[in-house]
Amino acid sequence: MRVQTDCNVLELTQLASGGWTMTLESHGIAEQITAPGQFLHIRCGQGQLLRRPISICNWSARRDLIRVVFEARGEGTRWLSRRQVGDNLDVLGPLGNGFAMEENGRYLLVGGGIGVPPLLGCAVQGSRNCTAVLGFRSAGHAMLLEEFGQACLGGVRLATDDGSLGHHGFVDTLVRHELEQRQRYDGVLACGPKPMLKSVAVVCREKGVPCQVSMEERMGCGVGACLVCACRNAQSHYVHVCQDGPVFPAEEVDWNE
Amino acid sequence: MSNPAMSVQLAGMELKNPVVVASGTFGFGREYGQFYDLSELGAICVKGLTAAPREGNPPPRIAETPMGILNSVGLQNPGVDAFISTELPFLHRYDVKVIANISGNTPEEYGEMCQKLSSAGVDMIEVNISCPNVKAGGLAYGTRPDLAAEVTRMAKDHAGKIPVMVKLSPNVTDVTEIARAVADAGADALSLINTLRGMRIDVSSRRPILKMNTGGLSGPAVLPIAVRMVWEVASIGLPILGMGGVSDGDGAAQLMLAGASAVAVGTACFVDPYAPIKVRDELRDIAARQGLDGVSQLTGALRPW
Repeated sequence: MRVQTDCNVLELTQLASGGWTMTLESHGIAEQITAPGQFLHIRCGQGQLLRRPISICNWSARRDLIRVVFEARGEGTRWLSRRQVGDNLDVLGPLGNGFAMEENGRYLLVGGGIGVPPLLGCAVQGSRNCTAVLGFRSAGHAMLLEEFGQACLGGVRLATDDGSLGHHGFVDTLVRHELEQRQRYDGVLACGPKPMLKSVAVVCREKGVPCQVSMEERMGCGVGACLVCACRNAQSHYVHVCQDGPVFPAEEVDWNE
Repeated sequence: MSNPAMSVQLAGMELKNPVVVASGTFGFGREYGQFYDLSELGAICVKGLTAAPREGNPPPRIAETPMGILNSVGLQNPGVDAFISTELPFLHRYDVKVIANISGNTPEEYGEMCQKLSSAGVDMIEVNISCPNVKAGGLAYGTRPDLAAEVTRMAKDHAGKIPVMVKLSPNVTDVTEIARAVADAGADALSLINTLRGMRIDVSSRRPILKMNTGGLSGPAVLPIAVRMVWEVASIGLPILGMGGVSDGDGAAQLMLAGASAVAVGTACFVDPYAPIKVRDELRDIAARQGLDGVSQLTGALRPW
């Protein structure tokens, strides 16, 4: 039976990018995680009625730890960033379906901005045989580069919107280059803003490489009961990000919505 | 401290406790059934059903507001036939009453659905005449006494022995006017309140958060309105299922004192999946502290000034 759990904050630090990394003692949630890309639904104080879905960055079932990396963008996540070590958080999880990965598969991980953290879980937990293509607004917004460098045997390529780090431009150019120049990939796993996901999906379809994308939508219950986080699938039916996703095969998403 | 009996009657239907989960907040029970035994609940009011399957509204469908949420799901549901064939058998595995919530485009559709659900073996039908989200029908029935009465009569004519409860909209000037019309048309019970129409705007983009521009407000913010409206409608004399912003035993007790025989918990489920269980236990504690033999003694026991 699923449970709501009080998780203990073990570590909370601000990254140079401005985002926050938080490690939780998960009280049994970590061992239930089935794939990278799943999320926690976290209560963010009495003033915020709705929980906030935060993607899992990495975890250790053995040590009962879960790491999340988030940006303090609204009231809820600002509240979360003000917690102290030792505080308890009201957490539902793990929720949703993550990235489907073969243990020794070769994957291209494509992340944009705050979509980058869950891909670290893919590299650490899913398959070491990964190459990462990470995009940020600028060098100052880049995060988790060292950890991706250690986890990805295929290395890390970077892109920034302003050219202050790596390729000047969007990640899809690098993705195209990777798929054309490098050895064969078993799949592309992407998380980031929808326009980025769409352009990555287009390149993957062109190159015939299977692509999975992690989608976002304003969420309510997080468990599939309230039906608010609707997103259209390729057959033009509504599916729900919390229960049917957040990770979908790219060809199952209606990109024109 | 007494040990109060928790069972209540709602239009002849016996509930083992007064806590119902509100339509649209609990799906068909499967999701929250992963958290606790659904037999713990008094009744489950299922996601609003329509004659044909409905896709619902485009996203975003939810916006957070001070102590509330706005939603514009738009009655997404698999249709009454799919409910009967795949969802109802699942719910029947539990010792819990099943209330089917229905919305129709025409009075005939209400009748047709009532007939199917009555034969399929639900315990009660809740007629939604007040969903503010659907462009066709919906609001019009709930805001006009003559149309509300027509739908009620149609439902009663086709529901057989199953009690018919009519869910009232708060988006009216005088809720008792509609309540009296549906009571006269034969309704067995009333449920209220449905959501209040509201709107939230993103100031930087100058766009409404909801794709449908407006939506229905629910959550703790609406509790005082629900209590007031239940109190106003109680004078009509029909049994009442009270709802609107209940998140604890105190809120549930307020609705019962105002005249409700049972209470529904809705939005609070999104905050805490165990909210209905918590409300039930706190309600028992309140009744015990007041030395009552049964929680049903709270119903209508208000001492107004």
